[in-house]
Amino acid sequence: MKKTLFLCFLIGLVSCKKEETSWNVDLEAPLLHDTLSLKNWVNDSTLTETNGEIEVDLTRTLLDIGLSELIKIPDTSVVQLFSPILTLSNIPPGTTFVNEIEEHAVDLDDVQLKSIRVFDGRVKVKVYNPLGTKVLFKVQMPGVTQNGVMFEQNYSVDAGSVANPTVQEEWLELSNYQIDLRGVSGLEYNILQTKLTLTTDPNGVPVSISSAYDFKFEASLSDVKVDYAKGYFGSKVFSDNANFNIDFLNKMTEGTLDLPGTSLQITVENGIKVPVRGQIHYLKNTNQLGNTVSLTSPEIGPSFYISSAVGAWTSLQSNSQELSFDPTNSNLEAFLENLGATNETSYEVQLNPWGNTSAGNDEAFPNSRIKVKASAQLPLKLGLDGLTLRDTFDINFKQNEAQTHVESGMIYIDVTNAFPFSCDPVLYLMTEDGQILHTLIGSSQISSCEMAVIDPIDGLKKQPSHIEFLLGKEQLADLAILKKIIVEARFDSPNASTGISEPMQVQAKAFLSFKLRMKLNTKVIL
Amino acid sequence: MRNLFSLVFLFYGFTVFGQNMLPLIQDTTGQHSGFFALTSNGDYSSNSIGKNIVQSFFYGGFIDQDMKNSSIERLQNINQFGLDMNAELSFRSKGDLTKKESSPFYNHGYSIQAGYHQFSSIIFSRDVFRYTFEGNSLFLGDTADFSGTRFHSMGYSKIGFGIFNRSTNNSLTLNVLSLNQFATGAMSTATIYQDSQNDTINLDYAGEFSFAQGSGFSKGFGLSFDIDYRIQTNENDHAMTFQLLAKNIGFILPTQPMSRYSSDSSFQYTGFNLNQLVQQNILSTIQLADTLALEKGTEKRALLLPGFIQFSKLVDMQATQRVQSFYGARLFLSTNYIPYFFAGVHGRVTKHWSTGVSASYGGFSHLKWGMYSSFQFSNWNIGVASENLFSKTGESIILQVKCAF
Repeated sequence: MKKTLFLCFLIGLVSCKKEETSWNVDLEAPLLHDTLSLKNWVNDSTLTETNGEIEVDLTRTLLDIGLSELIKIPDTSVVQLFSPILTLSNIPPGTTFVNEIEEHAVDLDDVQLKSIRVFDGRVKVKVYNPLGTKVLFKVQMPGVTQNGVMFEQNYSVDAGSVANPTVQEEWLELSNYQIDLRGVSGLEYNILQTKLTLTTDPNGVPVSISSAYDFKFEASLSDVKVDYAKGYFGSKVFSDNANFNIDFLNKMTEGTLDLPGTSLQITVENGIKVPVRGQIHYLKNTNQLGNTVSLTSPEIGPSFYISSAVGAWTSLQSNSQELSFDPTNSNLEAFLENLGATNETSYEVQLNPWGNTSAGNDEAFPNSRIKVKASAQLPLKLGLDGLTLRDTFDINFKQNEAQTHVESGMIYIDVTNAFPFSCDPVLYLMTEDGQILHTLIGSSQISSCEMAVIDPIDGLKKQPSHIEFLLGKEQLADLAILKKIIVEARFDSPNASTGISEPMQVQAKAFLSFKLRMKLNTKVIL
Repeated sequence: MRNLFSLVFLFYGFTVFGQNMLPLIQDTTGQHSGFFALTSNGDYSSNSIGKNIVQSFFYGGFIDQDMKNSSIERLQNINQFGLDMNAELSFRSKGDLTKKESSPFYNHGYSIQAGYHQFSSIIFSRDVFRYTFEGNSLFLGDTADFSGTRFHSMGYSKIGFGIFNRSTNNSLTLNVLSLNQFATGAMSTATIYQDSQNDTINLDYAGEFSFAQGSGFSKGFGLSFDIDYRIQTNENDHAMTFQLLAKNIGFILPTQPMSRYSSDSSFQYTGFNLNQLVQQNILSTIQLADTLALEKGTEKRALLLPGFIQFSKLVDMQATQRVQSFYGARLFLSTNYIPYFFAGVHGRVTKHWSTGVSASYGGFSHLKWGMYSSFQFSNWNIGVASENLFSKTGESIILQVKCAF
C-alpha cells in the first residue's frame, strides 16, 4: 500500500511538470496608409500649373542680413568725474556744481555713425558720493533723446567717504531712444555726450570739498541693437563658401535623370541706402559617385554692382540684380542632372565698393535687408532610367521562439500610382555589421500611370498595383540579428507603347496612395 | 487515464472536499467510530470545447486544426466551460461532545476539515473561440461578436469546525476562508468588424474586468457553512434516506480593494500614416488605454462563494438489497452553471466491493455517464469515481480514502 501511494505521488509530481500549450492563429491588420501628392515631394517649393503641366519653383535664400548684422554697437562704458581743483570750505547746503559736457568716442572701426535708433538695449548708471552728507546727482546724456526729451536721471545718494564712497546704481531700458553721435559740435561721428550736475544736501549742514573728493558717474551700455542708422557704413565685405547638402540625392545609387528645360536664377537684393558689389566665384556639386560638375557661365566670376535702395522707412524700395542661368548660357542641365548631393558655392557681397561716396549719408531702416537668393524652375517632365534610390533604416524586432512568436507572414502593399514612373522595390535585411542575410523582392512592380487610361471623373491616369513581400521561417528565425533594412527602389519612366524610358510629364494633381497591411501566422504559446 | 490521475494528484498538495460527489451513501455501521477522510475531486466539462484542447492547457501540447475543428463543430451560440477542483481532509471524532442525555448535543460528535477549492467558469460566444484559436483572418468582411461573454474564477482555502449527529449523520460546519485567487469579467457588448479589404478595424465594446490584488497567498477572508441534513422515509417497507446538502455557502471580503477595468466605447483603427510614423507618434500603452477609453479603478465588495446545494436520494449501505437506485439534483451558486440532475444504480458485488453507474445532465455540459467503485478493507475504504466518462468535452475523477477508528 505504501509503495502504491509513493508511486502515485511520483506520477503526480511528473504530471505537474507542464509542457507549453501552443496553437497557431492567422492575424491580419492594416499597418500604414497615406497619400503622397506633389506637395509632399516638394514641400519647400511652389508648384505652378500651366496647361495641366507642373513646374516646381524652388527658391532658397543663401544670405539674408539686416542692420543688426551690419552695425554692431559694442558694449561701451563712459565715466564722468567731478573733482574740485581747490578746497572749498563751508559750502552752504543746496549748493550746485555743474560739470561740463564730456564727449566719449565709441569704437566702430571704419563705420562712422551720425545717428542711430535703439530698438533693444540697456544702460547701467552708477554714481559715487564721497561726501559726508547726502548729495543730489543729475545725470544727463545730451543727444540721447526719446520723443525729443533728453536722457536724464536724478539720484539722491546718501553720505559716504573718500575712502568708501556711497554707490548707487540702476539699470535702465534704452529701447526707442534716438542717439545723436555727432558730438557737441554736430560735425563729429561715433561720439556719446554726458553731463553731470551735483547739489549738496539742501537740508544738510555746510560742507567742505577738496580735490580728494571724486564725484563720479558711470554709464555702461550693453546689448545695444539698432533698427535705424545713418552715417558711413564702411566697405565691409561679406563672403562665404556656402555648403549645402541635399541628402536625398545621396540615396541615388545608379541610373540617370533627364531634366529638360530647367533654369536657375541667383538674385542679390539690396534694401540699404548703400551701393553694393556682388560676385559669385563658383557653384559646383558632387554626386554620390564622386563626380563633380561646376556651373559654367559668363555670369560666374565677374563683379556686378547694385545701386542704393531708394525711399525711407515705409517707402523704402530695394534694388536688385538677377543672374540668370539656362541651357543657352550655361551647362545648367548637366549641372542639375549630376544629382549632386553636396553643393558648394562661393560668393561675396561688399558695401560701399567705392568708399564714402554718400558723404556719410548711408542709411538703413528696420526693413532694410541684403539678400542673396537662388531660385530654380524645374518642369516636372522627368526621364528616369534605372534611377535607383537606396536608403537604410535601423530595425529592432525581437521575438523569442519559446514565447508567442510569428512563424511566417506576408506584408502586402496596395498602391494607386498617378505618377508616370514605375518602381521595383527590393528589401535587404542586414546584420549590425552590414552583412545582407536576406533579400525580399516584391512580387511585382508599382506600375506607371502611363499603363492606365484617363479616369473621366478626375481626368487622371491612375494605375493600381499589388505587391507582396513574403516573410518565411528563415527570415523570422534571424529576426534577432537583423538590425538594418535597406529599402531599394528602382525608378523608370517607361513609354507605355515601347517600354523605353523617356522624359514623362507629371500630371497636375498627381499622387501616390498606398495601404500597407500584414498577415501573420503566429504561434501562441502559453 | 494518466491525465486524470495527475489532475487529482496535482491537488493532493493543497486541497480536499466532503462527500458530495458519487457515491452518495448513507452508512450507519460506523456510528460510534471516528474517521479520517481524504477526498479530492477534479472535474471540468464543456458543452463544446473538446477535452483534448483542455488537456493541452493542463498538460501542454500543440492544439492542431483537427482538434479545433472538432470543437468548432460542437460550438453553439452560447458555450460553457467549467472547472471544479477541490480537495478536503476531514476528521470526525470518535467521542461525543457530552455524555449528558439531557444535553442537546448528546450523541453528537465534532468534526474538523480543511481544504482548497478552485471553481472557474466561462460563458462565451462561438466567435470568441474562433478568434482566440484561429485568429482574425477568417473574420475579414465579417463581424466577430463576443457579446455576452463572461468568466468567473475563484480559489480559496478553508478550515472548518462542526458538529454531527451520530444517529442521523446530520451535520453543521462553520468554515473560515482565505481567498487565494479571484477574477471576474463580463462583456455585455463586444464586436470587432474588419472589412474585407483589411483597411479598417472597428471595435464596439462595453465590459468590465476585476481581480483581487495582493502578492501573498491570502487576498481576503470570509466565512461559510456546510449543512448536511438527512431525511428518513419508508417506501414499500424499504427505508430510504434523502440528503439535503448545502456546501460552501458564504462570502469572502478581499483585504484590499480589487482592481477594476471597465470601458464602454468604440474605436476605429485604420493603421498609421506617415507623419505618425516619422514623428514616432505610435500609440504607447498609456495612449492606447486612453484611446480605448479604458477606465481603471478599484472596488470593494463581498464575494459570494460558488458553493452548491444538492438534494439527493442516498444509497443505504445497510440495506439488504444488492441493487439500489440513487438520484438527485445539484446547483452551484454561479450564473454560468445550469442545474445538474443525476441518477444511477448502485450494486454491492461482494462484501468488500460495491460499484455503480450513473447518468447526469446539466452543469457545464450535456449528458454524461459516470461510474464508481468502493473497496472496503478492514478499517479502510477507498473509493474511485467519475461523473464524466466517455465524454469528448470533459473529464472527472473523484478519489476518496477513508480510515475509520
